[in-house]
Amino acid sequence: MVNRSEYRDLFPGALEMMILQTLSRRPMHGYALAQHIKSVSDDLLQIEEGSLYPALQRMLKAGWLKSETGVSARKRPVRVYKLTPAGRRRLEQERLSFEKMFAGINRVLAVAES
Amino acid sequence: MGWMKHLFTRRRRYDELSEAMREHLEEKIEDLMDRGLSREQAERAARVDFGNVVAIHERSREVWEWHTVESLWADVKFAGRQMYKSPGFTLTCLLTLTLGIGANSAVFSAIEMILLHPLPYREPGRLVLVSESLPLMAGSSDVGVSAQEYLDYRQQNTVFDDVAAFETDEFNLTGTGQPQRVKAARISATALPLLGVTPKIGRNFTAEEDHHGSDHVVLLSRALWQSTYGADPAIVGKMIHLDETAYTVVGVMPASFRFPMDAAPPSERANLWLPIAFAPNLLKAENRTMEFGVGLIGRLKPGISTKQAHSDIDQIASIFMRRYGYSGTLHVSPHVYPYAAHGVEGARSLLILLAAAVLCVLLIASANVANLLVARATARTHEIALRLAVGAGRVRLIRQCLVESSLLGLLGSIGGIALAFLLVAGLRSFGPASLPRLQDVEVHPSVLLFAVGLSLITSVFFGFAPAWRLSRVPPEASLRTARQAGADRGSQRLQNSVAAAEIALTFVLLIAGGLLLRSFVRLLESPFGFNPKNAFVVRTVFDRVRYPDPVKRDVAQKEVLDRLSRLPGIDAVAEASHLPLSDTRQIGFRLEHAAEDDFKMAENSLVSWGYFRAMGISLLVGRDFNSADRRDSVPVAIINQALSRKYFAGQNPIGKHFDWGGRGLFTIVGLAADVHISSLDSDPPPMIYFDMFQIQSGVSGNTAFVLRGPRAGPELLPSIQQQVWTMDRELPLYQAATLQSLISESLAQRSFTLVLVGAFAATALLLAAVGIFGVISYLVTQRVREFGVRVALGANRSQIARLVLARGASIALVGCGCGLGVSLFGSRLVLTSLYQTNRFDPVLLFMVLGLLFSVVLLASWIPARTAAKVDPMRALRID
Repeated sequence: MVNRSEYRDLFPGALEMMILQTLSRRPMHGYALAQHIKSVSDDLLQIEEGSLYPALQRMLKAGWLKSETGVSARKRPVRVYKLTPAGRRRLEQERLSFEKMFAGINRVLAVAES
Repeated sequence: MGWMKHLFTRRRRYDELSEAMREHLEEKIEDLMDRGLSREQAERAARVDFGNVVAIHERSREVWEWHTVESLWADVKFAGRQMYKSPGFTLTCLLTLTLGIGANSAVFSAIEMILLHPLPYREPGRLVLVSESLPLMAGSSDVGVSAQEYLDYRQQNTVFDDVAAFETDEFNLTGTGQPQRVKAARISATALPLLGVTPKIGRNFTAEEDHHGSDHVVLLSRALWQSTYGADPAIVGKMIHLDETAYTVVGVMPASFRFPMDAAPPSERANLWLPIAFAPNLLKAENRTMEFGVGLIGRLKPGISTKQAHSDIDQIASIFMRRYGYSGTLHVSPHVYPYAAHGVEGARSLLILLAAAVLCVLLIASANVANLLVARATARTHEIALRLAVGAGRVRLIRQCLVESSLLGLLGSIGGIALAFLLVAGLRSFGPASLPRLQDVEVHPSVLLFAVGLSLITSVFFGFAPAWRLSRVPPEASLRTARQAGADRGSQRLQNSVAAAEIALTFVLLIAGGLLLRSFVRLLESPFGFNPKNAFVVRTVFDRVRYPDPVKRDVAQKEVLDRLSRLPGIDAVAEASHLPLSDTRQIGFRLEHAAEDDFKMAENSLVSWGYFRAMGISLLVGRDFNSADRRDSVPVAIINQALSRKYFAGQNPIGKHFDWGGRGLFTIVGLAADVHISSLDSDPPPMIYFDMFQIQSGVSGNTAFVLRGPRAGPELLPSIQQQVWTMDRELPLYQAATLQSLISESLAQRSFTLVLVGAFAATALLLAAVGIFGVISYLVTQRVREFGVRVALGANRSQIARLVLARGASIALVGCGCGLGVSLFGSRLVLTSLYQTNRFDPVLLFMVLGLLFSVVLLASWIPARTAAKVDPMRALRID
């Protein structure tokens, strides 16, 4: 079924965390953001580029991002997304909980192997 | 307040979103082109990487939306546009629903009020009526009980908490301006406590006041209290004059109190209640079996059934019949009826018939809407498949179909509710007055709810089912096949059977309507026995208090007759105590040489000379009454054909004798034509006429003047009043009417039934025609390609048309078959409304069959012509 997107999310919150992380370095516009996530993950994470947009809207609504007018690499005027202080706090929380979860999973895996 | 801000800035956000996505794609395409792809290849690759732009846009927007409500509103708007785009479909659906809901709510509201609504008494379910019938009187007419029997039942029963007696009466109310004729009821002092009702102001009669001699007290109806006494709060204790006798007002009853005429139209209801206070005369031993007419109402003890009460009453009756030597034809058989149901007995069969008919209409209406919705949904297979293919959500699609059909159901319901109120108002003003409690009928909320619910369920279910099925079909499959394969068999079979069911129901309704119409025509064709044209009736009363001397009363009556006969344009004037189709009075007489207790019953009326001429009743043999028949001469009588046939078969009745009421032997001097008495559809009963100037009867002074002539009509009333009132200012003149109106009143309930059932049958026929048309047109659309192939292969065009017509005919055949089966059983419902008509009338059967088939063929003809005109080139082209 076409409408059932297999790429919708990697796991809950993963796409959001990657966007927050990427934007915490510098503000970017949509296309650049997509290219960045793709290249950094070495194409391991197959995401539909379009699926960034619903995520971006959710985060705008939550107040973690704000949008501004900027210029693209091709010197075109574009929407640039920028992290807000609330976004920064959110990133910290997400990262912490993710690390905790990751450590937990690691431990379980280690026990299972031995 | 966040959402408020969102609401206002949303449009800008959406624009920005579209803009950002467009920029994204542009940039991506340019990048890809830099890598050496052609513009086309780059665009394609970019879109594959990006995903479904429309769906993503929608999902992004959803973030900001007030989700459910807004998309619902969007669906409603869309549904509205869809409906607007196909006005034929929408209008048909809405009209069908409106009609179905409106008619049903009205009829079932009437049924609720007339048959089911509880009377305003304490625990009305425990109230029963006890009445006796005399087996010697043909039929089942109840005569009430006699005063002494009432006392026996009262003292000896073990099944009632209490019993009460009642009688109806009439009085001249004077001293309040124009003399008024008012209906009254005499009730025992136990009646109000038994019913659980207390006067609104004042008090009930005391047990002491319920005795002859101390009974000059009266309770007023609220209506009379307001209209005649200006709602005087100090009315209690005041005097009023009834038949020139003073009565003390002791109270005013609540507006809802109508005992004992609970089911009667407003003009028939009691306006006064007096103690029944049996006169010593009534309590005489010989009147135990002569003077019936007392009503007996009882309140059953808790847990006692009507059946148990009946056996108790029966036992009491057999005891007193043995003790007082009831013999021969004087035997009585008591009955116990639920009080509320007894009052509306006459309307029961009519209402059940109407309910069945209107339910058929509702079913047909629902079936039609269902068929239309199914056909439409199937016709939209292509559209739905396309929308699924471009990424519409399944839930969303189903919801949208649902919204569409609910919107339809909702609008139809609103129309239906409006129609229901209109119809009930119409029913109240145009319904037959003989229908009990008609004036109380209101649109009943739960009835309305039921009809609306049913139509909503129909429309929602039949809108939803096909949408759900379609949404599960892989879109590529429907897209490929929708235009070429014939309709899928499932929905076609469903449609055919729904259409056949419509035909079946219509068949039943047409048969019912036809039977009623035949009965009606038979009735109008059968002789009335009198000539209703150019005759006018007005009633008055020469009461015994005012005219105590019979001789003086005769003089006064003759003077009135004389004055009236001199009115211009009047050819004949006469007087009678009882008129056909209005009053009935039965007497028991003995044939000469019959046993002491061998009574026969006959209808009776006391008439003046010239009555037969004035009424237009033919006097077949013998003579009319004349001035030679005096009080001191031999009593004479005129009988009718029915009595002659029954008791003097094969003999000349003139000169024969009979005995009545200990007044000596009467001699029969004339034989008159039969006249219908109680109603046109009951056979004329045996009848005896007496000369009112010869016989002193027990009849109160009620009398009716009959005037015949070219100018006899309502416009004559002022001159009549003037003539009568010149002689006696205090004579009330009431119930002025033409004889013709007596006939139409007698036929009112029947014509009402006929009109309604006829209207329902016509509606059903129309709906069924629309239904068949829809099904066949749909079939033709579905099979266009097949017809194209047939034509291309050399099929004759008329063969194609025949093919389509055959489908219509086969549906009609199945429908008529089922209808025939149903009507064989269902015609039982109209049985009581038939008059000299065979309910399996073969002529009618063939007429209905013919009508239905021609309507079905007509409805199939238009789509058949379309099918025959199919252009094979266009039909076979794949688009």
